[in-house]
Amino acid sequence: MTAALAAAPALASIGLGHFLVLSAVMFTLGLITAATRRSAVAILMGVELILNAAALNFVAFSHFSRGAITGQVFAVFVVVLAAAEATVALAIVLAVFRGFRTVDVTDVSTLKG
Amino acid sequence: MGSIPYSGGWLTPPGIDAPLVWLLLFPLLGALATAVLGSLSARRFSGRVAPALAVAAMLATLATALVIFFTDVLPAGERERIFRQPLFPLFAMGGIRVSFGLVMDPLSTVMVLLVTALGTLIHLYAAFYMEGDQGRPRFFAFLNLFVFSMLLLVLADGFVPLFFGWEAVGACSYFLIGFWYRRAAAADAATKAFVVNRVGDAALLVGISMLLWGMGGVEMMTGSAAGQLGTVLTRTGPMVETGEGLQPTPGRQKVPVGPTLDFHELRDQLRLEMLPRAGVTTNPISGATVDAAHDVHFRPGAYLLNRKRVGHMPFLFVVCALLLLGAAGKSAQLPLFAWLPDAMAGPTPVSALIHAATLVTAGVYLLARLSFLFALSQGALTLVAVIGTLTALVGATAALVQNDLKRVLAYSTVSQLGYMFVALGAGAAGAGVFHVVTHGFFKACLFLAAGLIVHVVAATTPGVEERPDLAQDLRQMGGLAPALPATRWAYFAACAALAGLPFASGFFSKDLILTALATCDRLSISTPLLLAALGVTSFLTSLYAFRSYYLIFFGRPPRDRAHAAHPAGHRGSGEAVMTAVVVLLALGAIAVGPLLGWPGNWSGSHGESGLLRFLGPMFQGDWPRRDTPQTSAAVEWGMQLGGALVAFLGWAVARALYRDAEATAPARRRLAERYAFVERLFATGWQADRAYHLLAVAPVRALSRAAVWLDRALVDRAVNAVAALGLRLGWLAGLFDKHAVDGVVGGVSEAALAAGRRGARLQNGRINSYVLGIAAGIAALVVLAYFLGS
Repeated sequence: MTAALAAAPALASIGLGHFLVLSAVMFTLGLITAATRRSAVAILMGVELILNAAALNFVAFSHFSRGAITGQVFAVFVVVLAAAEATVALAIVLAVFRGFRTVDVTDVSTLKG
Repeated sequence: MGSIPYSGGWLTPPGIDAPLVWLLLFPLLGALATAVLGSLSARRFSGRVAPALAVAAMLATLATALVIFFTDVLPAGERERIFRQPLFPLFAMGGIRVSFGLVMDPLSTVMVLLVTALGTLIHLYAAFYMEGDQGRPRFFAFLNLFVFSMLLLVLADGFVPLFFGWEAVGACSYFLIGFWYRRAAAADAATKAFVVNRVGDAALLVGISMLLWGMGGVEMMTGSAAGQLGTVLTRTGPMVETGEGLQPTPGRQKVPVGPTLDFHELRDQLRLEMLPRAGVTTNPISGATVDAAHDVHFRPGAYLLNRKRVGHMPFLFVVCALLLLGAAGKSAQLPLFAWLPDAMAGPTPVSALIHAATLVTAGVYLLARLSFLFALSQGALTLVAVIGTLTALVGATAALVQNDLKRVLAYSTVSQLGYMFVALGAGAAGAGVFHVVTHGFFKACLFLAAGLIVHVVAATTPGVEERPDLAQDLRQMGGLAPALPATRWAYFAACAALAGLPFASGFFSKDLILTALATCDRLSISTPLLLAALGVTSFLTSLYAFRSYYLIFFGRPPRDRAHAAHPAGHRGSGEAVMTAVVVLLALGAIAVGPLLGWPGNWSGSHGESGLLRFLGPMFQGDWPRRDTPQTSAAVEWGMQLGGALVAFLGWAVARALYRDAEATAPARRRLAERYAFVERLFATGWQADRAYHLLAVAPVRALSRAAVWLDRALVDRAVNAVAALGLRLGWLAGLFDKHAVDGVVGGVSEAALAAGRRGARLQNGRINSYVLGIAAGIAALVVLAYFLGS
């Protein structure tokens, strides 16, 4: 990571550091959302944030390392995966709603003890 | 180990060897086949398979013995009649190698022929005698095994195989004496015979071990230089008696020296030891120079044996005394004789086999086999002669007053074995063996005749079922002559042989023994004293023999016996065969004496005749450094006339007293009342049982009581104390367990429970907290990777 930073001296205005900070902020927000919200849908949104923060990291690193588009390719994959994940997760949420009449994850618990 | 090397496989050895093995294999296989096939077919063929197999095995053995005798032993030269067959090595300790082998020399030939011939006849008799008994397979298997053991004993080439046979004979006698094991008397008698024999066997074993030790066995094992094993090449042969003093046999001969348990090696060594020690000696008679020096540095085992001492006693005497005690146990001699009369509880054929061919002759055989060893110890010879004389006297007196027919015969055997021991003690082993042969025939005849008589009495006496001994009671007999005519004459012939009436076999053998004793000057006790005792014994022998004869066949039967009801030959062909066997044995009892031992002074030739010449090479040279004096004709004639006179006297007295028993009854009763304590003394075999009781049984009992007291007072108390201590310790351990161990266990489980309860709280089902956990885990991993991965 330090080597990548050293390899991008040209763009002084917006550098890799900014992207990484943005990504970290997004990840943290996503994590907080997923960890604190009670609604299953909101948690899914937090997860989306985390995924996109990671995709942003891919693109940023790929951009600042010359001649490779691996990161961009991975970003596309992430988008696709996120779409698929959202589909499955929303289906689960729907199923949960049918079973429990709520999407509040604190109420969706049958564990004893 | 032997001078003839171990050769090849033991089933197909060359030459004479195979038949020698078959002598043992036939009775052994017979015993196995009888036991297995006889039991399997017990219900079929009315149980006759077992007797048939046993008799067949005996016939095969007899045939083998005869073939060996006529094709190999007899044609061989007088001095070459030693056929050895080493079978297999047993073990080696240091330089001592012990092997298992057979030897057929004149002595074992005589014994083998006697055992097989009498054994076959007795088997044949038993096949009919035991008709209807349920235990026949067992009986005949042991009977065959008995003969096998005895053949092993007499064919053994050394102490070790002999000891095997010795023990096997004792075991078989135990099984057969106790054959009717449901009768308490039989079981007790078997145990008594076994235990008394055990005493002798222990002495024998100690004697053998000491012999080995005395020859330097210990030095051999520890490797000290005192006893080296090697082969000495004597420049002359061993010394033998030739009639002109001790002479070396011509020719060179190899004699292995060192500790050995082989009879012939031991004898050769002792002969070698007797060679003059100086380098060159001159024969005083022929004047020829004999270079008799052997390599002294080899120190033959015999050299050590001859010089060792135990305390103040010569070593050889101690060894011989122990071996004598062993022989006395087997042959029912004085300290250990009381088992034999009790052994009558067995079936009659067993008694005949024990008394005539096997078991009791084993001791006589052993001493005859070792006569070269005993000859070196004057004390041992004296002991043998004295024990023999005393036993002969005690046995004869006891036989005189018994009321049980078989006990009369048993004590008679004890007495006759005493004669054989006297012969061995007097250094006339040949005469002793001769008496074994003649005694075998007439005693077998007497016993088998007694079996017939007992059958008849048992069939006609009421109350026999409850008291089987009633059938053997002389007082229940009388007047049996018309019922058993052939048996009567056979019994008479055997009695004549036993009493020593002239021309019956016992006369010849007894005369030889007495003559040998009269001319013997090696004993350290006055021989006239022994002779007088034996003279009295001869008189008593004749008296008791004819007493039983007259009480059985003459006079009137007791009133309650349904005498007339007895049909002659009620057992059909069986009785005919049994009577034939008895008559055959009676003929033998008359004939073997004159055939084998016609006295030299009768035929005018002053050589030994028949059996004695055959046995001669066995015992020649036993007497080192001494010239055997010619027996004077006066002594021979005197002994013969005296013996005949005493025998006739006994007969006459018996005839006067017992021929018409009823007429003399009051007089005899008066006599019995006056000398009641003498009669009781005689009847109990001179209180032998009480002596055993006082000397052995009572001390052992006292010892056991003391042991019980010791056990109760000390051992039990100690055990109890230990147990109490254990209880206390257990209580302590319980406390510890309850508080410490259980506490730990409980604590562990409590901790696990608590941990579970805490852990369960984590699984709260809240997805948010799971997510937090995942995030924290990832963060931790990242931090870890940062610190570790760089």
